Amino acid sequence: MKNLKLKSARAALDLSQQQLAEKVGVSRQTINAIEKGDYNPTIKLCISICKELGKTLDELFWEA
Amino acid sequence: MQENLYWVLGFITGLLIVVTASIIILVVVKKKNGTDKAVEYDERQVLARGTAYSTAFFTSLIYMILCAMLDVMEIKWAELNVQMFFGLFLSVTVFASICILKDAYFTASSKKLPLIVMFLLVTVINLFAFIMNIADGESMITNGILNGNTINAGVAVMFIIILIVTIIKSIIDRKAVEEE
Repeated sequence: MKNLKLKSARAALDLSQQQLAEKVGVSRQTINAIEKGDYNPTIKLCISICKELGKTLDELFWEA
Repeated sequence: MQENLYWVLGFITGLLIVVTASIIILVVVKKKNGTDKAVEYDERQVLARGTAYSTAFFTSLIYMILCAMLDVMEIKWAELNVQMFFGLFLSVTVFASICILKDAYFTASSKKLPLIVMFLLVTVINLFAFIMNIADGESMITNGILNGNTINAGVAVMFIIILIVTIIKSIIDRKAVEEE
């Protein structure tokens, strides 16, 4: 399932996938795979992404 | 007998030179980067590389079983060293291709171009060595089976496949970035 919350949070900060990837220390393709729902990140990476985007885990990764 | 000994000594010397040069290059690169970050893969890449290793391992296993079966049936197609090297090239090609397609060959901080240039160089050198052998009148076949002269061609084919996969993946990635 696509993670549109992550994509919109990233876009809101005007960050490209590459820029976010560099900030959290992964490859651009990893961010792309998370947004497309092709890869489930570990909690460690989720927290790094949340910190960079100023969001909580619930806001970005919780599926209601 | 003495000629064979010289060949073995030459092979061992060549191997030692390659290993020593590789270690020196690795140490220099590590010192230049200051840390080991240049060889770090992210968590998704580590998983993808695991899949690639396993696929390459099973490819190698199947290849060895096929070679053994052909040998049992007394169907000779290549010299023993050629069979061994072709198995090696096959599994390396499978591993590298899967890694490249899953974006797990290059680390986030590594640059693709120097590696692509090196691949191209190795391809050209091996193709050149193969063509020179053939031009010198040496045959690819001895007693109806592939001989050691085909190993250079095998290396060249392996790197050509890896280069093609890299180029295809780069085109796909460029399109993905444009669509983003």
